[in-house]
Amino acid sequence: MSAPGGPLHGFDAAATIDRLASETVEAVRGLGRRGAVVATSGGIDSSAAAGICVRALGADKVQLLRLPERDVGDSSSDLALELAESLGADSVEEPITAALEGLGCYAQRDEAIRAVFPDYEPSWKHKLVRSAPSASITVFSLVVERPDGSREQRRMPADAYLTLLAATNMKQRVRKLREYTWADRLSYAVIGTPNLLEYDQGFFVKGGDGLADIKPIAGLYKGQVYAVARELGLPDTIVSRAPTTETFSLPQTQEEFYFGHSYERMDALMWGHLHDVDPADLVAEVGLSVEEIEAAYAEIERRRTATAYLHAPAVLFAREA
Amino acid sequence: MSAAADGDENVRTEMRAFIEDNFLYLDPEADLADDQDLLAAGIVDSLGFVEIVEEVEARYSVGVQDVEITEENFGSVDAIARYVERKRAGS
Repeated sequence: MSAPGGPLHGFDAAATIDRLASETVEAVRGLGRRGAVVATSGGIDSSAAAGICVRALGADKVQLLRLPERDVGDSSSDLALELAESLGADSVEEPITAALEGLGCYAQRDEAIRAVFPDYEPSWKHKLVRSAPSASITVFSLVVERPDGSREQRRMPADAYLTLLAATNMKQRVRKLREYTWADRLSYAVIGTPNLLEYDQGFFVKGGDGLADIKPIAGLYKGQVYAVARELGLPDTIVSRAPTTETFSLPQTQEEFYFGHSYERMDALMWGHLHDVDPADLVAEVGLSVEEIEAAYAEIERRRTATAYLHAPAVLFAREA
Repeated sequence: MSAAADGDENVRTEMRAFIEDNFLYLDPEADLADDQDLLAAGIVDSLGFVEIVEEVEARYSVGVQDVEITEENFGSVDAIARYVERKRAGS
């Protein structure tokens, strides 16, 4: 490897778990809570976060939740149940489909899709994809799969894009409502599960998966999360599973929806950018040209700017004298 | 001034007004130059460019292909005017 290091160079997963567990104990204590609530999707991030919490607090002080909905199906809930059994922690399943129906999530989503595909039927599967990585403009398109298996892709108009995103963001926000309901009931803290890529690049819903009391893995690259999960001995079905966004009815990777690169490459690009690595020294590691790496660095910066609002706390005005 | 140049200037005026109305309405003192780089200056983000594309398609009855949504074609008021002129000329 030509780059002088990398996210996994010298990474000690066991030592990291010890540190994160210790900090989790301190954080829960500091917040005056008695344990932790973790919503688990069966994905690697929430599984690793749950494993760290169990290591830190003990299984009897961690409440796991499974919050499936219609578009994602049962497989992720099954994986999350397998996780709970391996950790020895209690896990409750509370499907959120009925709540989302009541809020109009699916109806508003379907309205947005029909703005692009007027003949769309709710039975069709769909997903949102982005244009290829560049230092310039990113365009989002909607992909639908008709019942005969044929797929079609069309550009999303701005209004339809925003309507679709607003509708699907309800999923993360309803899940968070469930998490805080359990946290209130048990006097527990809510655990957020973004990794470093997601946190740094604003890949979360404000008031949804972005809302939490403690975010134990927000400093870990995705590859480090996998290493931590393996070190924790999490089920192989989870550790070997490809990451998805768990948002749309067609399988969708974070690469095609947001980052434009595989997580391995995005890890290396983020690491290079954070450590001021000359793009020329990263060429062999990421398999991109110098120009493409420069574009990726620029896009990392641009996403930070574009998503600053998601990180911003409420603006407080001065108290009246 | 030629007819083409007149058309060009109309596009500039209309698109400058569109951008000012939609992206700079909280900053009325801003002086938007026709060659201002809209993306680098943080005036327009990717979704904003899609709005500009929709405006161009609706206002000037030109079809914009996805591959044409670039800074070269939409990155400034000047670029948009040149793009519309090329599309009207059929190139």
